[in-house]
Amino acid sequence: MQARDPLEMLIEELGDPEFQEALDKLVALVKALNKSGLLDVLLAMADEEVVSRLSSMLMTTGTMKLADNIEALTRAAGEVAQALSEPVEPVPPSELVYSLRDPEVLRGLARLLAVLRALGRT
Amino acid sequence: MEKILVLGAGTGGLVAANLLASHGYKVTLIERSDTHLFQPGMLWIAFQGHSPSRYTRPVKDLVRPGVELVKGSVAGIDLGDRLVYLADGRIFTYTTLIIALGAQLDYEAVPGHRELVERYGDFYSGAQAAARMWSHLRELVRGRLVIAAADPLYKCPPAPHKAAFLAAHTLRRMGRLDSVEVHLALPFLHEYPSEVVARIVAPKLEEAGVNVSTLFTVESIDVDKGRIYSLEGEEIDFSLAAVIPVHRGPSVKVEPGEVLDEDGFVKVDRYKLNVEGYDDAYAIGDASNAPTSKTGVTAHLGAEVVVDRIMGLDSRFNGRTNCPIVANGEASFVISSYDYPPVPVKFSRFKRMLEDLFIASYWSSLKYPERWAPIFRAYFNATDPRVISGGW
Repeated sequence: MQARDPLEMLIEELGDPEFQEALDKLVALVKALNKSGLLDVLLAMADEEVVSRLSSMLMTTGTMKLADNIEALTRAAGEVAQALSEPVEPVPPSELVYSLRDPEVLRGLARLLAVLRALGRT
Repeated sequence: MEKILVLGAGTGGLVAANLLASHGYKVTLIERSDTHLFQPGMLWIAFQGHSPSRYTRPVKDLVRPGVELVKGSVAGIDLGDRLVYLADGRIFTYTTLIIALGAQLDYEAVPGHRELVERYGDFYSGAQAAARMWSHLRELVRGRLVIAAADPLYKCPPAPHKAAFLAAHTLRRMGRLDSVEVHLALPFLHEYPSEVVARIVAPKLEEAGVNVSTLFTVESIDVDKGRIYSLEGEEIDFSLAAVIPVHRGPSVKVEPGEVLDEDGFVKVDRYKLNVEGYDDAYAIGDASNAPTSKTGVTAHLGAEVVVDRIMGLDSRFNGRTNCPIVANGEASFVISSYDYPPVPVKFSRFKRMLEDLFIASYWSSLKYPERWAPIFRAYFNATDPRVISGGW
């Protein structure tokens, strides 16, 4: 098979209406980015030192662990947010000990202790 | 005038050649194939029916200006006289040599293996063989799919696990996991060489419906009977099977022969990656005997170290691995280094997304390694086995 002339291939591509439409959109996007000044920001960011600093700031052991557990965190936050929206009655100190019979409260306490231990490690 | 010769346009060879070119060096890269294959892609071709074209690119599109690409098959290396012989008789001289010829797969070591791979394909010997495996898997309505290995040393230690996960996922989607058993037969004491990783992988395999045999090293295969025999004296019947072949060092005559170990891998200083006894020749990736996993990540990181050293910097390779284990919608990584055995890394959807990003960046990271270096460095520092020893 003979290799095709790249120029010939490009000319053929240019005649494709879908290519035209895509190109129009791309030009519109680049113009909009340029007008807003974002293109200048992107160009300045595409610098090895900036990328290096940004990467080492965004990718740390902490952020890696955070991202890895984001589902557990948002699930817990969602439950807490819902609990906050529900009305509660003040618990008198004499009845506090009865609350501790609730298995959910006990699990919550165990979680709080685990959180305290994790905080102690930092 | 410095004359740098890179042998092999796999991951390590391309990263080394392109990185050197980005620093202004003139490099000659010798490669026998026109096509570069993203090797983990074979798993997706074989067990999920992906198109091979997704994982292959012409080598010429992956080299930068400044890299002279020579098509040819390396037949011999003379380290004393600094000469490289090609099979067609051409001879190249060098001032610095980087051997990145990969490992060769030996389908003759196990009786019946050649016949097995010719009939069913596998996920090691190329995109075509992987496509052949897929054409058989899609027809498999009942019976047993066996994924096994002929030796504990092979490229990408979690590859058989990934194969089993992907195959089980496909069969489940086809509604055939009740009539087709996915069986993973491993030459290890546990579900993974590292017990820490085995404890994390085992429950996931069970969840995926994969059955596992341990201490099963393939000794021979009877393709017509559909039976695999192990070195340990066990046997297992199959309807379809893929056996990871024995790996050896590159099939190249090297002078002096003492620089090769008994399996033909090039003996190197594990930190500086120079060929033992030579400071003008390096070996990276699967071709070397560096005591770490044979993976694309180690080849890439090794190439960076060698380029630094050629530039006069005292970089050292720490044997870091980052082998992804992909299960349904989740992934884990086998993270270790020379000084740290694998740390416990749990499966998560975030890690699966990270693996997607690594795959997406693959072609770009081969051609423009210096652009990706700071990003990869940040990732490897953040997930250094020393700092995440407690787990991730």
